[in-house]
Amino acid sequence: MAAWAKRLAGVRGVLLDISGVLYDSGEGGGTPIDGSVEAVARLKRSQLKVRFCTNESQKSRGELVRLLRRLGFNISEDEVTAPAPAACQILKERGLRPHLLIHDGVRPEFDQIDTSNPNCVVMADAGDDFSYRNMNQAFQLLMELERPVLISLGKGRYYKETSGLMLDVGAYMKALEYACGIEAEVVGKPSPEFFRSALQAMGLEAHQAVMIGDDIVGDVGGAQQCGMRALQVRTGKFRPSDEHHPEVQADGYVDNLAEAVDLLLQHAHE
Amino acid sequence: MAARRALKAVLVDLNGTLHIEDAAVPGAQEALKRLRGTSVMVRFVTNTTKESKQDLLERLRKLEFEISEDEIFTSLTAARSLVEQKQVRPMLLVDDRALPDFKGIQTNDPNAVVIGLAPEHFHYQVLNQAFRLLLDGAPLIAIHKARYYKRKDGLALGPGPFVTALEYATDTPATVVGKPETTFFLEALRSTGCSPEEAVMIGDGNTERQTRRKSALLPTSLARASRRPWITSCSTCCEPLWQRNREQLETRSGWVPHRGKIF
Repeated sequence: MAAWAKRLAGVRGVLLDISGVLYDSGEGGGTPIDGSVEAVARLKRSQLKVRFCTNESQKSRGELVRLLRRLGFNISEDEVTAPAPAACQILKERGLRPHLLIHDGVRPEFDQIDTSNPNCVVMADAGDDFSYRNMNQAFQLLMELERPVLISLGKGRYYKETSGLMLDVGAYMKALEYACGIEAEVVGKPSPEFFRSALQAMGLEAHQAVMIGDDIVGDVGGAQQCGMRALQVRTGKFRPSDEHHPEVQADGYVDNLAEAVDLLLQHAHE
Repeated sequence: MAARRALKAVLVDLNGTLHIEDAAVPGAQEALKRLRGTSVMVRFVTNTTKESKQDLLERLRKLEFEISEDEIFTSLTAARSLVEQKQVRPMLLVDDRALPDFKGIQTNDPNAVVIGLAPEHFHYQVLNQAFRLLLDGAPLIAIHKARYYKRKDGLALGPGPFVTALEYATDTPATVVGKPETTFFLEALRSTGCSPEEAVMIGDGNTERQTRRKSALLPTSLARASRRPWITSCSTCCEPLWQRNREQLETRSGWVPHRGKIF
């Protein structure tokens, strides 16, 4: 117990990953992970600040939040840091017009973006829309550009759906990097800018926040690189080998979000 | 320098050495007859991923080369060989025309993945299936890792990018069996029972560079068959060649390779 008190001392806010921590996506939208709805409610009743930090890029924030609320979660759009809005910001700042390699579900996030005469490719978790034809289209465009720019919303290897593990955007990003001989720019976890913008939205410094996620590298490693503490849950895409990762050692391993919240409410003091 | 062992086997590259597309290289038929007069074992090697041995045999016989099917060793043969050695049941993501070369191999309830140039298989659901097998420990066997190839409508993604995707997702490297990987040459030799020190590889400039770099074979260039700069014989842009040979590409051909567009 003393160990946890030490590890969680000074925590004033929590960043929550969504997929694999709150729920698993899939059939009919998805299934909440046991105890997570109540865990979020308890966090919100506490003195701790709460923000959701997700790499979800198959759905728009609106669609995601609507779905989670249907599943019983207390969550609103302005509490969510997601990669598509961050990408749009970057596109506008740099005068980039994207060819979108995305799933239709996230297209509304790009409504304000000029996609004519594209001078870059933005890719997200396109799921079934990662057809050979769509990949080839993106590839051909990049090969024709004088200065090819590939922006990827996250670089995850896989995520968990109720039916099983699913290839994520990172795998397809590597495919295009290899094909074109270029390096993609990642918007979303584990990029430090992404974590920092979430911290800013909470009004906290890194050392005052703890990230809770199921991706040992993207969530836990990424958060730690920014100076945050991070807890690894054993739900979602977690696999036992993650507890012995050669590079990343979480600040704690918990069975699920409910256990993480138990510990936080016991040991995190203002 | 150590004394060379007696020459017991000869590997002959097909495209560019014995023939160029559908035309025999002048003098090649005669050269082959002379080779046959010796006691060396001969193997004909090629990196095709969508021509079965039957297809190749037909083409070569039309050009009046006397060759038997078990003398032909393709990258598909190398894949089959590895599958048999490992005693696995592969999920075959290969061109339909390559399937005859896997005849007799069990593919039900797969516990391995074999990937060749097969765009019709590179869709999300199929790749995800492969991914799940690999995550469970199935080996990934890649015929080669070409980045792209030329089609009528322009460039098209080769198997390389998708192999890379699966390698990244599973954090496990593929075993690449096609030229110029060492595995390819060692497998080709295995059927002759000879060791690399007892063998010679005959090919055009392209192959020579590949083999010298990759294996103990003593490469001998008998036929500079291709007058074109050798880089164009690599229109599939194999990634290992690209990275390793960039300087040679620039000085030898006078073409400045641009980010993988080397034609």
